[in-house]
Amino acid sequence: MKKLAVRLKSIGYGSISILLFFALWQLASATNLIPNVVIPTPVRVIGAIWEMMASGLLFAQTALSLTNIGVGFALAIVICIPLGLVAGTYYNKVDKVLLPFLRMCEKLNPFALFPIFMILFGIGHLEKVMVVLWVSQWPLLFNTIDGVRNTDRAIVKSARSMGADSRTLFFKVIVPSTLPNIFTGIKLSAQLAFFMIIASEMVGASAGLGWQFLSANLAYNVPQMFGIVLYVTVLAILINVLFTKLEKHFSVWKQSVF
Amino acid sequence: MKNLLVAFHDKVKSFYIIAGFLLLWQIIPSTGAVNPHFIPPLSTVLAEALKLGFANIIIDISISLERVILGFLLALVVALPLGFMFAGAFPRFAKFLYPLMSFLSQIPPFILFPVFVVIFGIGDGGIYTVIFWSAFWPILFSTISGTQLVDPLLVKSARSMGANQAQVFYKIIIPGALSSIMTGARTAMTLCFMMLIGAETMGANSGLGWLINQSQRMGMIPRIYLAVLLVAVLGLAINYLFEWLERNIIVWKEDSQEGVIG
Repeated sequence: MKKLAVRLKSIGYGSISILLFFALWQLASATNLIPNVVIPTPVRVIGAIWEMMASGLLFAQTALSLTNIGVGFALAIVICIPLGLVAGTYYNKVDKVLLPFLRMCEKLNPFALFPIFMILFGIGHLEKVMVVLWVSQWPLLFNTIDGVRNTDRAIVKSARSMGADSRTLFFKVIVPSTLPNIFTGIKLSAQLAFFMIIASEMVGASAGLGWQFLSANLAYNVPQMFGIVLYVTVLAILINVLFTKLEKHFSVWKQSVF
Repeated sequence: MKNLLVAFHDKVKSFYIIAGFLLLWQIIPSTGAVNPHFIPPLSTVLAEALKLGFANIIIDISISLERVILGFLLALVVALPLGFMFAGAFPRFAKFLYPLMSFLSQIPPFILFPVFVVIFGIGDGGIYTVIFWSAFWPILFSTISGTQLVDPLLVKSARSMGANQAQVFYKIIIPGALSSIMTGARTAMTLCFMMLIGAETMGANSGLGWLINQSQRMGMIPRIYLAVLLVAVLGLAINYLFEWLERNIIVWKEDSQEGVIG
């Protein structure tokens, strides 16, 4: 009970700055200090969000976007984590030959690739899934590889000295030791995937949150635009918090550096 | 002779796959295995460069570069002092603002772009603001955390040797925080460059992102590939520049590399 009170107090204290920000925003916009048309009051923005929720529009679009992310993300996990584990284990063989090319692919600007994805896959669900797949691959792959490389050598050696063969070594030593890194990769990929799906829907789609935002933009429905921005931000924060909790859950035995 | 070959092979190992990829790009569309209209062979893409004209290419590249560099420098100039102030002079104020800053920094910059266009009008204003925004938060946060991580022992020893506030700042805090700051700057630059292309695609009339968008709308498919190639090369160049900077400015950092098996 006391713990709950302490937590609530800290959340309350933390929200003060955010609430203050909204209060100032409301004041500045309502008194037209900042042009009302350009930056609507928070009250209107939240009104617009409420409207979208009530008409079911928001949930439909969110579900669509999230489905696309879900499929692409699941595919990326299934492909990249085993690949990363193997690549990390045989690192020295792969290192100079394969990795620089893959690192280049990672740094390739995803926005620039949108038109190519659209040429290859159209603008339907397949393209969205492909975009998410491409973008989520790299953090997953590289984090898994890094995790394997950081396996404590002492543990590997003791396992070997106790007679572990390669298979046991792989499944009982390397994989568990890499789990924290894998989940860091999953967290980064999830955030990136969410960001990219919104962007991809803004550039070429006919449904989803990004498209909704674009049509609000074209209709110059500014409160709705701001509403979607707020909504997307809250979603992004939720994803972040969720995956951080997941990551922490699996990193229990890892000593934190800070 | 053999040693020479082996040494050469060692150096260019990384490029084999890239060369292989480029070769495949040339060969596969040429043989018609993939529809060459949708995936033109490398030679067509490069020939498009001549059609477009080197002058235009250079103009577009320099416009994009100018935008990203200016936006980035602006963010640097604002975020660095702010970060130092927050971490050093007003830690409690920074802690108070932290939830708000965290909230604002997590707004996806791309979705802010149309909002900035609404506020600042069409044209470069929105683009610069998005680039500034994307670069600002990573630099700010990494400066704050970098400054906070400077070993207090170092500060205390400096003080006990008679250093005044300015000396402590320039000789202890800045070098100590530099590593974090450079990482933050590199992240900021990556984000910036990504957003640059995105923003130019949506609302500009010059620059590489605009080139991509325009080629797409005009259906000039080889030009799309050319623009993407240019963006890729530019992005890589910027990235290598930053890595080189990081390596040469932070000469005291060490790094270990090893594989687990094999």
